[in-house]
Amino acid sequence: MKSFKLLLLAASMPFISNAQTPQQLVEWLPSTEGWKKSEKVESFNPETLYERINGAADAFLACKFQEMTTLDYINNSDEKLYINVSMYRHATPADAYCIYAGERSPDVEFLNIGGEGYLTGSSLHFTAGSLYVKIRTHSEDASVIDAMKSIATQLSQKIDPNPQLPKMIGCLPKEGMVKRSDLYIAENFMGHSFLHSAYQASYQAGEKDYTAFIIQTADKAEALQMLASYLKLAKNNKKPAEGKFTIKDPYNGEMVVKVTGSYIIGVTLESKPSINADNLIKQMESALEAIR
Amino acid sequence: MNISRRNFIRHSLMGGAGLAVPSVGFSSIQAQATKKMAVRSLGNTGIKLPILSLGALTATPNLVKAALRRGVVHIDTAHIYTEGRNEVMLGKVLKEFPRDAYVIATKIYTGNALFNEEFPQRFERQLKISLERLQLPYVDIIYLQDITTAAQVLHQPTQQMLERLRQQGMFKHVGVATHANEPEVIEAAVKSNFYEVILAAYNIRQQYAQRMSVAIQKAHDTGIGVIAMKVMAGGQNNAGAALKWVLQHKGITSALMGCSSYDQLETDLQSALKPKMNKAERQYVENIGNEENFYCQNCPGCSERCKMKLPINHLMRFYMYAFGYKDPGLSKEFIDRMQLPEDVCHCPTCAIECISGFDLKKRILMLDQLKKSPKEFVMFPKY
Repeated sequence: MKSFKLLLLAASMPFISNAQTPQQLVEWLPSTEGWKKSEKVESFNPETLYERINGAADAFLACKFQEMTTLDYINNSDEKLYINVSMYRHATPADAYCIYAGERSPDVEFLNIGGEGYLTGSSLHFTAGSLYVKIRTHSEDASVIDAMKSIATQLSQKIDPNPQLPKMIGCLPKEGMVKRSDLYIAENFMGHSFLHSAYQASYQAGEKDYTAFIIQTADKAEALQMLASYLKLAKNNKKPAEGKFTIKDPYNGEMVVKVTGSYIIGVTLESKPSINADNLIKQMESALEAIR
Repeated sequence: MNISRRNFIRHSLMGGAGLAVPSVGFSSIQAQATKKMAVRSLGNTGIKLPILSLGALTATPNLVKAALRRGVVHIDTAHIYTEGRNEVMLGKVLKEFPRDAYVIATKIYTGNALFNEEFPQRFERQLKISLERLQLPYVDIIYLQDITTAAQVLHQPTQQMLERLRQQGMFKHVGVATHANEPEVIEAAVKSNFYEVILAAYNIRQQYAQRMSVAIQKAHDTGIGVIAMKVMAGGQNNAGAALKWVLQHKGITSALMGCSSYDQLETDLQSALKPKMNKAERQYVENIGNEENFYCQNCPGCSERCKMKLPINHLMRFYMYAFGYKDPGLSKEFIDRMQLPEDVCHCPTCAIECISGFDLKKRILMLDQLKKSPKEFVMFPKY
């Protein structure tokens, strides 16, 4: 019989708590007039998610997917009419937002559900807490859509009575932002494994586009280490320190970055937009200061 | 680990890399890059592909461009990937390249839906949407996605629908994409005399890799191009060895790799540029034959055969977390939520003969020990 090491849990070690079980999520789903919840409830984990959503699973795994619980509401008058609710639980609210925003199109009807939600055709998506929820039907009947909205509203309140999007999104500059282009990238930001995660948004200045981003690290030491890796990649001999640097990323073009405390703030300049990058950096810095 | 699988892996090391001449037919951007990467014919399609292809789902736009410039000409996506945003992204990227610089494939989710009356209409509608997103009049390859049975492959009305859409110019070549029951699907595709490409999960960890090898060879011999996906499964400790093992099979035209970082792209390219295994890689592959196997095949009916009706596939996954991933905390989190009996297993002997050769009783008793351990004595993962 193998033995495994048992280690004392340090008081400071974070642990997984408040992680909703499939049973709890099903209990949170409201009763809805004219519909009954199916008895069949399925759950999928990181190893089996692909059985349900095929290769699309990789995008969820990249956003630290943990578990998906799914069941149907069946219409009392027509058993072939159903509403499917699929609840994807991720490691953190930011990770749930990661996949929600990654799948969101700017040209849809946005709803005040959860931190944010939208309706596209007969599919309703929202994010709340650490959950990304998709509610779908094959009917475009208004009463069915209303039922979906009702389910979504009540479920989101159970998940998080005070839902909000990640605060860091609000620290990105507003002017020039392409509508609903804000994203959280959970790993390999800009394709660089040493940059891990970041919040970003896309912008337009005339015909030119650019990106503003914020990387949150554990502390200044980690931020400087990250900067050191980036300078090395860019063959920039400057010593990493707090302050502003111009980096010529061989893959992503030129950008301005600034290390401030545990943050790395940046603006990409690949397209040579006519913008005041310093000003944008200052705006993000002030916004981060305000939420500290 | 059963003996025949161990022998199959050992014998597979005798294969070569199947090098071929550099390709013709790509734009000058790729011609230089593909000079060094081996190229193979995609069955009878007339397409020649470098042995490394890109699954674009988790790639940034600049990473896709970098891959194209480095000679990775085949790009794979799907209608459902990130609710269409992946195809939209590729549409913007591919505009910057000549049309002959890439071979683009997309997929439309199919499964058992193809037996429904409305499937042809839905398929055509979704394919048109995909083409709009990609900003292309046609794709090189269209796949039926999630094909898992011979009946799906051999469904005549679907083949007729596909032929009609091909005549309309929406795609050049048609294939099936499968990651379950793959040997049956491949054999049916051979029998169909219709499908030209197969995208199939193939990797060194598959319990039926030997059967897959035979099926792939059969497909190759009948002129069907086979592209391998899920190549890395279990090969994360030596990605190069995992990739090279797949490429040894001459019936595989190309290996489709998901890629989200430049480091990963570079690693994969280096393996593809030198596809012959080195000594350490050969050793790794040999050792896999002797390693404890943690990957449950999720066989249907397994839990039903358990006298205690335990969720066997879930328990094997928790065992993998504790002893494969070396993460007992993660395992315990899931075990605690499972509401298992006080003593998980009472049976003197196990009623299930596991095809993967797992000693189920032994593994479940070890999980029982973990279940009974106080939470504070088990390390939890940090996110």
